[in-house]
Amino acid sequence: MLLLWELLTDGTHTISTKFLASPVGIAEEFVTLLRTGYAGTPLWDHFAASLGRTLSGYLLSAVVAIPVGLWMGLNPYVRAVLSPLFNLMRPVPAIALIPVMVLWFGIGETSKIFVIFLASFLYVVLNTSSGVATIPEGLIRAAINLGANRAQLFRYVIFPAAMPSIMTGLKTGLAVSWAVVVAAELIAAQKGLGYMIEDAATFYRINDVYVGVILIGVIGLFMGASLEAIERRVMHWAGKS
Amino acid sequence: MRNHSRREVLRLAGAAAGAAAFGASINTSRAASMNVRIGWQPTLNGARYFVAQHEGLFTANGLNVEAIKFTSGPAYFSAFLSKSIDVGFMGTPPAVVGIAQGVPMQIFAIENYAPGSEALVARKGSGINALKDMKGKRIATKRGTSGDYALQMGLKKAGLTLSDITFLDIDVSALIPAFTRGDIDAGWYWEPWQGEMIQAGGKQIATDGEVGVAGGIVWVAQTDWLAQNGEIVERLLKAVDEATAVIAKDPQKAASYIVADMGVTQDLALRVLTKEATWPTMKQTWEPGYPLSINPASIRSDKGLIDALSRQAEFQKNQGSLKTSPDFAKAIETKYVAQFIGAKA
Repeated sequence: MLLLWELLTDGTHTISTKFLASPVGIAEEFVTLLRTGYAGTPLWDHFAASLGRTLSGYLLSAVVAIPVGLWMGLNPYVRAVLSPLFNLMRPVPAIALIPVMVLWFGIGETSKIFVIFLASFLYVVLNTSSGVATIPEGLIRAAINLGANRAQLFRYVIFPAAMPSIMTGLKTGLAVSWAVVVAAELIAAQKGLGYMIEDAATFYRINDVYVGVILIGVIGLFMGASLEAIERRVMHWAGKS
Repeated sequence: MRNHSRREVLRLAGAAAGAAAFGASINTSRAASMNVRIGWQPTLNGARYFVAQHEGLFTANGLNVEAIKFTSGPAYFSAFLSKSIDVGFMGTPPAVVGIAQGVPMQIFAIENYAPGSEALVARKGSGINALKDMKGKRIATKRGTSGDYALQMGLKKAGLTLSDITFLDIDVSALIPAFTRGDIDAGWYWEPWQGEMIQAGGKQIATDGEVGVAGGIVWVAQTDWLAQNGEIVERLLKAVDEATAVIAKDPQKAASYIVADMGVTQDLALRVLTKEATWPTMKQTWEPGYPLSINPASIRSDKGLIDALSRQAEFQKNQGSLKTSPDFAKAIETKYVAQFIGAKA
């Protein structure tokens, strides 16, 4: 497929490289960026900045969302109050919040991490909550009949049974975090892969845009695969009866 | 017998007149339906476009305008490449970038010259009262814009370099909250953001004109379309030229149109229209001495518009943002303005 792409652009010029950059052009630009950086900042620094923000926002969201989600799942009154609120917030695009974020949190890392936190939080909390709420009654009754107290019920029945949903939420949350980092970096960022893409677009440096987009795709893939590996270790019982 | 033939003649004459009128009306309605896709953006410097729309000048000149909104100059590039729009207006910095990067667009007219509508505005309590006070402070602008270029020239004028300040690359969407919070000490931006910073308690320190940066808005068109649609371009020039008179004679009315379209205050719109920028007639842009002159003689001697464009390109090239500084003479199409003012004379 790469060969066909290269042939169509650089080889035969069937598609002008103005419309679709050629793989060789993108690769060359990538090497240039590795050597000279973008906008005076090394490529690694851009990558590290984006990754740092994403992981901070994501991990924070997991730490807050899982307990809140569990609470919502166990308590129908809390769920009735919080669930509509979170569902209302979820479709709001991060870009729309930029002026408000700057007003509340300024132009430093806080505003960017908060946007990522918020986007991921909403997915993790709602998945966790539904994970608990949809545990079959039979499981819970069986455990109570066997003499389980509240703590044991939670530790041995509820939490494990909700785990698949929680993991789904965490995987989605990670994907969303990484996708939102581009929007978050519209908030007065001075470096980052999202910043690089937006800046390159202003100068119509299309090859740089492609490099940024491809890097984001590849890194996202890698992060998702890592999380799946963790999931397999932690939830070794999934898929087995 | 004579009456009969006179009636015949009259009837024939009447039929002929009717046919002529009918034919003329067909010609007018055919003439009135020339379509053009204009890309516009919410900049006060594109005032004549908004005035022309509100005053019905495009329709009056036989143009059926499909208006497409863009957030800023760079957004036009893909549209020109894919031929999704025919014509538009943007500042000289993005025009320079687009042309240098090979976007199929050419400049065919000047919209305005705006030495005062962009400036450095400092926050109250920042301690900045002159350009040299920028030293050690947090100064914001948006990379690649006229503000970026002006800031660099301002630093040079004060004998400072980029390393003497904390340079913050901030988009207009984050500017005012950051300014009010005190996250930045000053910003170099265009209208309405200059006015908004002043409204937030800021003080104007220096304008583009004061640091020798000649900038303005230019009319650009897709290269192929421009070559093939001279009639539409002529009508467009006429409509825009007529709008110049409205701004000159009744700036309050012109300002009210801008207020309606962009939600800025009447005061700000009026200040931009009367003090900060000037809108030349097409004839004035032909004068060799005009700051953004498109007279071929000026182009040949590297003066006027081509000088402004070349300086911008050199600056961007030194910044590493552009790889080449192209020959802008090829990107300026002067024949339509020439034809337009020739016809007027």
